[in-house]
Amino acid sequence: MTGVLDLNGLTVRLPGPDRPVLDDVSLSIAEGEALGLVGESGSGKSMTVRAIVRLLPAGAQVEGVVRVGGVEVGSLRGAALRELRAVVPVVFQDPRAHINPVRTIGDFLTEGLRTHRRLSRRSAEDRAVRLLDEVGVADGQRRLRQYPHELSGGLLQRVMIAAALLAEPRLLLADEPTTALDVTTQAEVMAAVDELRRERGLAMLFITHDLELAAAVCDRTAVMYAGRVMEVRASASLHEHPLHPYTAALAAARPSLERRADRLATIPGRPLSAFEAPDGCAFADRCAHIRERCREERPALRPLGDGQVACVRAEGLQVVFRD
Amino acid sequence: MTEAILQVEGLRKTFGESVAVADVSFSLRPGGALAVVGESGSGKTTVARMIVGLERPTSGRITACGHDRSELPRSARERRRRGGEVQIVFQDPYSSLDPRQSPAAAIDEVLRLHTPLDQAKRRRRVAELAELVGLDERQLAALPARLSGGQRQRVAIARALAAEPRILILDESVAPLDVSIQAQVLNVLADVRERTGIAYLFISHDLAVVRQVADDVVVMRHGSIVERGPAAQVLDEPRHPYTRLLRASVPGPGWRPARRTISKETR
Repeated sequence: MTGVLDLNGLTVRLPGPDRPVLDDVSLSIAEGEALGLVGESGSGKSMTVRAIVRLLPAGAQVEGVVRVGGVEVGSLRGAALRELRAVVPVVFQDPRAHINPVRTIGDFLTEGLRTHRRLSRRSAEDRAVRLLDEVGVADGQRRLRQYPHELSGGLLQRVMIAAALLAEPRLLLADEPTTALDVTTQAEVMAAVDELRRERGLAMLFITHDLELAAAVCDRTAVMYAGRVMEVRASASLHEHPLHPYTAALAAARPSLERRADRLATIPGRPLSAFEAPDGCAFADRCAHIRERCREERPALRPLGDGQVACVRAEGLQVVFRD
Repeated sequence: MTEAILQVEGLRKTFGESVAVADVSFSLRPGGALAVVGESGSGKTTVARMIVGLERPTSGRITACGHDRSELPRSARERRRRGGEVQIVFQDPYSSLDPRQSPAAAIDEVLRLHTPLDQAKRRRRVAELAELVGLDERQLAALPARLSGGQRQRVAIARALAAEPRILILDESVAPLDVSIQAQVLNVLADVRERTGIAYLFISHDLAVVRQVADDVVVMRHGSIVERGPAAQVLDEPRHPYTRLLRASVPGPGWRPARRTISKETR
């Protein structure tokens, strides 16, 4: 079945002596679905986004297939590549790094409409004001005359989301879009995104380090570690009954808002990148449930219950994690 | 009630026309842990900066370990004494370490300045501090560029502890850390407090972290305190509408963020 996005065996190596950053990543997103991609530093979650829109560092080697709406993106060049980036927009963590500080919000939002779609200034601005209203920014006419420095981070991130919607995309890539925002602003921005997704049937790949945020706003969640997918499942069941030891450990390490723990359950060592990962299971050195065979062969991502998991002991451990 | 080790009374700071901190008072008991919670612009970091002496209060009083520190120190000796009372760990471990100095040398420098230890004893103390925060030999000798964010932050904590302060201010110090590293650092902080009786002032926006580490909480908004009390009480039964909004904004299962249109906000 062809989804809005299909990744099949995606492997990315950066230039230099054997430096893989993504290792055999397979994921898919259905029409209108939100998939959360959760991981710590070096897990490869941002590289996955970059690989999809072909924004990898120069000299990166890519294996495997990326399809957007059934079209393979690996061979796109020139105008076709630009079109891909317009219909699969990315919203990044820091809006200020992705907007020209000396142009107005109006210039930023209408440039594409006027040069590519040949809309008049007037109708391009009307369109921009309607979009701003949709993402919860009232008084759009005034906002169009303002410069980025005159807007707060939360407001500017809404402008970025409005800009992402200009080409009427079916898939939105969001790379930690609310991480730099205050919690109350995060809630507002996520509410706007949530509403837009429902109204437009927009699919989303949502990158975050926050397992709880992914569980709250995404239909399914994938957990990545060292450039590999460890577990993919419906968000609620992944959050409540993790199958992979890494997911379970990550959930347990996070302090709870409801109660104070005597001690937090820690994971020994530090998160690894794909090129540092040991043979066999990438999480083996930090795992509390390791067996000999975990070091011998790399566990494949296989179907289990309502999702997929890459752990040979997953069936047996379910009982342990539920206690 | 025991006498407070840190007391802040009627603290106020203005930058030109704008009021960063309006009228803030709180106290921290010896060995206690107080969290100052708020969002950007609430003035919480300005309060921390005034306590360590990086900003001068417009008015109000700060007393730490029985000494007034509302005015700038008059001598190097006075400045050193203050450094031995209160230390701070900042949010960004990438800008708080000297890139040409190894962690061992950075910690040793603080020991030379703040303790009478000789070279051999200092070396032992560096090893002790490193063990306390979970740094190994190799990391101690490496330059900061070779260390991860979590390792750097542990260096910054070890360096702050080297001065044997009675009060440690942690200004969003665990916010940039990966979840698995953050848990390690929070446990280390709990251990250090238990072993040394140090008092913590946490500046944080993360309510779950606050729940884990703080005994008491003050909630700041627009430069003023809007609510205060024991951490469990403030987080479980928030009274002020702003505290309730903060609490409701934390994502979790079943969370439905509230939609609010921005219209009046000028910035």
